[in-house]
Amino acid sequence: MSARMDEFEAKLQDILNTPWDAQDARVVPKTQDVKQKDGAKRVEATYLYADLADSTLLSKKFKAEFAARVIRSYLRIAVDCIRAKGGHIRSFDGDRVMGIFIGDRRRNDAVEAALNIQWVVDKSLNPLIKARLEKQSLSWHVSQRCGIDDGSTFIVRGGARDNSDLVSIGSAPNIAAKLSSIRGESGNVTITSRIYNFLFDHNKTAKNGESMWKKRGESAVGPHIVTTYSSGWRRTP
Amino acid sequence: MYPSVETSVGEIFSAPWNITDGRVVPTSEDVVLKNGGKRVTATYLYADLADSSKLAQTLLPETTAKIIRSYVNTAARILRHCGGEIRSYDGDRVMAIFVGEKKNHNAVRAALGLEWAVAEVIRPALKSTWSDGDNFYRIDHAVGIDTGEALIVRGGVRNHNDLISIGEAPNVAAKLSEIRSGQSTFVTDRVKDELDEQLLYYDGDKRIWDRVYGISVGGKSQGVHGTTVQWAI
Repeated sequence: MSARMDEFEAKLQDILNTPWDAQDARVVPKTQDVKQKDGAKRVEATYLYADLADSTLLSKKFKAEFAARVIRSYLRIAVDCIRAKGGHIRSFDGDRVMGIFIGDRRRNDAVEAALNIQWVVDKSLNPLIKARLEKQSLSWHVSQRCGIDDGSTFIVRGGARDNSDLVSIGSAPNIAAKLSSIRGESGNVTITSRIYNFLFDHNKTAKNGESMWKKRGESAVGPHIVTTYSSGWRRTP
Repeated sequence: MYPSVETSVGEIFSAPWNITDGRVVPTSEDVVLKNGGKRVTATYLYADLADSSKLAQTLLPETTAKIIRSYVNTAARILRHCGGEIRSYDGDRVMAIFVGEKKNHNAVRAALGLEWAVAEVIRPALKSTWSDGDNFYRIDHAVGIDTGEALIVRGGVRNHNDLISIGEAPNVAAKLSEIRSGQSTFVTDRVKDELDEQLLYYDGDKRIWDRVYGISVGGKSQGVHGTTVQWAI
């Protein structure tokens, strides 16, 4: 097992096993936001959304304390894999995380991050959850999907005064988000032709010569007609 | 660009806690704790701008940005005005948490206020800013509200903290805000049952809420009510 996998294993063990210090609160914890500035930037970037499936079912079937561990483990995996490939995390939204990649290798970096996420989920997180739940004769399998697209976007601050966040405007973040929410279809990562056409050979074809990607039918993603490819492959980080 | 995005996001996540309205707010240590969690009985409200991907495709990004910002900005201000605490932005969507005795009343009041702002302020502003504003985009949105117990924890990524709400209410509220049926506010039975006359009837005896059928979240059917009613702030 690689050093990175050992690291993941340790982190996940920690998240899954350390007891919560949960308290009853009558007020909502508050986050203070960035000062409002009228800045805007245009950027060529690859957007990756990593989305945990079935989180509604998860929090219904299990205690919130356990659901929180699973969600946080998944976010941790996604964030670490994205950062390891040079991606920048823009925000969390509950059970999904968005990474922004820039530079010439951005499309390949994002795809490699997605393959890594699936590896860690399969090889580390799911076995740990299985071991933990088996004692109670319960089971849960984490499934997830990454959606990736590339394009020109416009990044601005979104919020009201004292409540800012960054908003990426463009088709790439929208499409990536929609692709990550595909369910009931094989594969764990779905990309557009704007990604596929730029992939290195080793990200397109497996060592045995088999194609790693399956072309999906042309489909409407919101208002966009896009050509997309899905892969069920994974790769050790 | 990227250092600055990281910096600003870092600021968002690492900012200190504040005390508001004389409530007892947990100290930052409470939440900074890696395994800290807060159990709350709260009302969750999601406000979601419709068709923003269509916007991004058909308009200049500068224009799209202005429209999205006007919505998100307005929503945040109204939600806070009504006692909500903004806890999450995701592009064109805002989430607020309401606590306390009047949490359902306040959340619904905010939703009707936001519909007023969209119909009476933002739409006219769009029209007057761009002469063909009506033709290129009719701003639309939906607000979803549910109430219940939730566990609030950190996202758990060092130096980039964010809160995650785990529970049925945040999930259901998010799903309700994605309904596109012409109505602008959706609430569950659990929320409607807690409302007083003021938010059940208008003009004396006209019902504000209509039952919405066939809504199911996570495989569980939900009693949902929707309305087009607006109420100025």
